[in-house]
Amino acid sequence: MARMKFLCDAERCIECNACVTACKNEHEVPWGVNRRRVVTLNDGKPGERSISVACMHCSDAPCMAVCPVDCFYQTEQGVVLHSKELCIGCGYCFYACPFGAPQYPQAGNFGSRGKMDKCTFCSGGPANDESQEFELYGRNRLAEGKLPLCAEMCSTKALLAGDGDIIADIYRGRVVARGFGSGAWGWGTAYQLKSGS
Amino acid sequence: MSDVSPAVWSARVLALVLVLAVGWLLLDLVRQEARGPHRVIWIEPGQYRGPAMDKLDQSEVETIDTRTQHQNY
Repeated sequence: MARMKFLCDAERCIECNACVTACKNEHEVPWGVNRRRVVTLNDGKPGERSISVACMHCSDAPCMAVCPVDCFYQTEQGVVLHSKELCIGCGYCFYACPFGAPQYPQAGNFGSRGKMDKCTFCSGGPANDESQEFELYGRNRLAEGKLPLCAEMCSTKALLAGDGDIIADIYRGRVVARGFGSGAWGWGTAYQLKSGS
Repeated sequence: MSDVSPAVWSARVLALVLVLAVGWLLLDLVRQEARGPHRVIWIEPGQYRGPAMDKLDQSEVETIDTRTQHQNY
């Protein structure tokens, strides 16, 4: 059984934010809500790295464990989804999530947040019909045999999505091919101290 | 009473402390058994009661896997 996962190759991510834009456009995500975002570490310093972060669809998801109304469920493919009909917008999942994935569309009086919104791995959510599904959760690309758009349109193929075993194989192949740290191809040319300097 | 050496007395006190300590541990063990199994610290997710959703069939999963394999260059 396939278990859907995201993997971001930090060596390839160029912080173009196209995944963020594509996600917002594909699902018509409301203003102020970002299901995906690019995080940059050591910005402007040597060793700068960027990774694209969204819901990681944890196997043992903490959001599922803390939800007081049990609005979360996991599909057979390991995608963590939730029902906006059941969600009360309490924000417990936001506190529990180590990736800050859950998003809330409102910041109203009395702490009202609105229904939680998060990455669905482009697999929609529980709804009565397709139009309602799109309105609440966004497009269901998985049902069309497609992968999440953020990964499919990534220009450097830094962001991988799909069966965890397959993307792990792809990533392993890349690491073996390019090496890492001082073993990476071109490392000596780029960083070796030049004579006389 | 006075012919007992201090070494013997200290051994007796030590034995008494040992007996009390072992007794206390055994008593605690019995109490734990009486309390029943330990409570699970990790919170288990509850049962989802929302609306159902369509499942992917085998051919859809295979199509997705094929696309995943071509996701590299």
